[in-house]
Amino acid sequence: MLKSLLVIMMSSVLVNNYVFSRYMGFDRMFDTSKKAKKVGSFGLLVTVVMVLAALVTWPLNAFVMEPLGLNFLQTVCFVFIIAGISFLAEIVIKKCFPALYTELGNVWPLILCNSAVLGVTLSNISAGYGFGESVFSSLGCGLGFLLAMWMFGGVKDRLEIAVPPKYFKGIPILLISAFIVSLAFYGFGGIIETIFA
Amino acid sequence: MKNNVKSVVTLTALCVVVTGVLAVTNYFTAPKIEENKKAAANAAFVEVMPEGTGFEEVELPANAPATVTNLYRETSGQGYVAKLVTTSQYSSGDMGITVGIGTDGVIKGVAITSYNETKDFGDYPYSYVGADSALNDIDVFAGATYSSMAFKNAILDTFNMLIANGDVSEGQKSAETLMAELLPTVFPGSCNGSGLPQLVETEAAGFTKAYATGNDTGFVALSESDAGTVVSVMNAFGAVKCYDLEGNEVAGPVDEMKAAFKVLADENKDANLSNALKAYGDEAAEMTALENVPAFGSVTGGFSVTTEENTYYIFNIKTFGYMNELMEMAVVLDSEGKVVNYRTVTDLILHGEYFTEHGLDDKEAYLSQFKGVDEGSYSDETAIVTGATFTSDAVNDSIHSAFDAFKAVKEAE
Amino acid sequence: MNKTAIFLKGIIKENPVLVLVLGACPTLAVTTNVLAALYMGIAVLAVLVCSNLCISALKNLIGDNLKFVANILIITGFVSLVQMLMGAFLPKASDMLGIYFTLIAVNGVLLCEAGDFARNNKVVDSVLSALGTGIGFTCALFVIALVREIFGNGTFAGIEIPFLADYKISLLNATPGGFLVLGLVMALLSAINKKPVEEICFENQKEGEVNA
Repeated sequence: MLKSLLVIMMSSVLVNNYVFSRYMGFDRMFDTSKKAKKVGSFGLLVTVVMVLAALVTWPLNAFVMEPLGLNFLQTVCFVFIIAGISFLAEIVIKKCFPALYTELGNVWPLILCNSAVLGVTLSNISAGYGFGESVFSSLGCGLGFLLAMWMFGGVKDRLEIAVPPKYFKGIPILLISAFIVSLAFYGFGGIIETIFA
Repeated sequence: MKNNVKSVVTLTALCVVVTGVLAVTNYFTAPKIEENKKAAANAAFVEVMPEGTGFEEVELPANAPATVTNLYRETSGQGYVAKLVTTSQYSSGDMGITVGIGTDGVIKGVAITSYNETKDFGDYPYSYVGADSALNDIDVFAGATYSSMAFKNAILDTFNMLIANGDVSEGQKSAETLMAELLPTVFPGSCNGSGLPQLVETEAAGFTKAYATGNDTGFVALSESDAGTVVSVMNAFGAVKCYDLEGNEVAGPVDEMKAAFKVLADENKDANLSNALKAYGDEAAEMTALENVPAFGSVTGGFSVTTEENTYYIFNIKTFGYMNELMEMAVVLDSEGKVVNYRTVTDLILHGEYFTEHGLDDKEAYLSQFKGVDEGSYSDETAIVTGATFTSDAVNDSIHSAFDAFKAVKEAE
Repeated sequence: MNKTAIFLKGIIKENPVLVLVLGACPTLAVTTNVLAALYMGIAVLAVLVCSNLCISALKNLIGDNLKFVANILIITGFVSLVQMLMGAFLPKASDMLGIYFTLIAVNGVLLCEAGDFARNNKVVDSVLSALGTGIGFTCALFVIALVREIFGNGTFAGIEIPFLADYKISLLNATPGGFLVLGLVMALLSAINKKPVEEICFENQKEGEVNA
């Protein structure tokens, strides 16, 4: 039982990495100004929000929406739940970790507008995951996001000192680097069957 | 403050409106969406049962063969759709098949859902559409023999299951189909390693159907008698046997067969003789051609040589190997039925690594295993080399044919 | 700005995908197939126009503090609406787009459009801008899908092209290829615009937009 949950989690981190394999949440990577430390805290925050979102949305879907046939409200509700959770998360950080708050700034819209967060809650439902599986999948998604941001942060540091061709400067060369990183994740395919075997 | 209140009120109103609009849209579109989903799910079924309207899964009956994974009943009583999974020896993965069979016992449609072999089946599955449980006129696909046999067997299994439960009616096997089923038993020389007759259609006066075997081992013909259809087989030596469609020996048109077809051993006498002399080892020996040997293995001719010490029997053999290519060899037996020599005319397609499996060094070592062996002491494993199945099956078949022919000669003496 | 300028800005100068670098997620995901790209582009256009219309119409009723929430509500509402309509009348499109259309709800393209433009301009202008941006989005998606499908898969909208089908570069059609093609197309466009993408992006960031 635990094994299958771990497989789902690892699959979200490596093989089906939400950023480099499913393209979600990539927009955050374009921001060229984040430093390594911020990446870590931002990534963790996103993971926390994702897991909380799964904890709220899955029961809502299973016990309220499905029985009452309110599936058409799914997107709207999920988006607002995520908005609410990220807003609350920001308030918590403001109160408890003020230093972190000053660093991250007004971060809750950024979390909301991250396709990965909405993406993982929706794909949990469409993949038919149970409660535990949803939570682990969200956890994996967040960790994958963190991993992606970390890795790509390192790449971006390198890009700062590199001198690409004139019209590639900025975003295009960033995308080419993303291509190469994505290749690395592409190579993870097939690892899932054997990773916990 | 007022601004705030205004905003909140607007927002709330907005929420209500959004929910309302979505609810209304949902009311109108949800049924359509359901319909679309159902059509998509049904698409797989409609592919194999075009007239079908709805399908529901039913429990597999107790006698269901292992190949049938799911069974669906067409809701308006038109028939059944079965999902099958079958493995073939030669492919690494399973083959998924979906077949629709009507209550009239006719196949409505076939689809392959997953397939792993390098050679594509192409249109082969569609040749099954319209066939009944007898599967008359369905050929095996050359080049993908094992897979297509597995395919055929899977379809047969489904038919048998449905017929046994009285859900569909049984089809009629044609005379040709029954004949083909009979041949591996009554005329093994006409069949290849997978038990499939290799026949070339020809004409013969007085017979409804006439065939020559692909390896010069003889002829097969169908004729009608008062008692029903008669299958007559004639081997290369001109010996004839007749059977009814159930495999019982009956009286038949023996003379007509001998008149209609050539005695191939005579036709090919020179070539056979040369091969036999080389196998025997003495080009100058006096060889007597064997005649009328009632052996129905893969023999195409035979000779005997008498010396002071012993009498030797040499049999010419042509058998089907890899990709149904003909393989020619000659086996020399002494008067006790022990193999003295085994000579191949066509090169054996066996590679070095296959021999090490048997602890042998090369082809010579492989062939020399057969020396001194007689029917009693011979076991199939001596010949069979896994990984070169078709070829080694052919070698095995040739040894058995030689022993067979030897027995027939001895009985006639 | 005059009306033409408003309409055209979304297509080349401020193309949401290739210049403003918003909405990379659906771009990369659906451009494996030209048909899917077109469906997505048209669907997004529909949502853009409707939401800009509404937001612009209601801009005086919603205060600044709640504007973000209201925008999201309207956009998400329209996304759900279009999704339902697609599921009922264009099931093939719905299948092809899958989850990625729903993610438009939190996509930068719409939010930026809504947040800056629709909020601050008349209804007519907002609709024009939405049209322009939507068309620009569709064009960008179409170009990328063209490259990815023709050279990556040897097909065009699912129909095989006889010569290319044997020489396809599968990687272009696969996940990594999306990044590559997008980067190349962006570089190409910035060469045509004679303005490196970096500059434009930083310009926007200075204005403190939500760049998602």
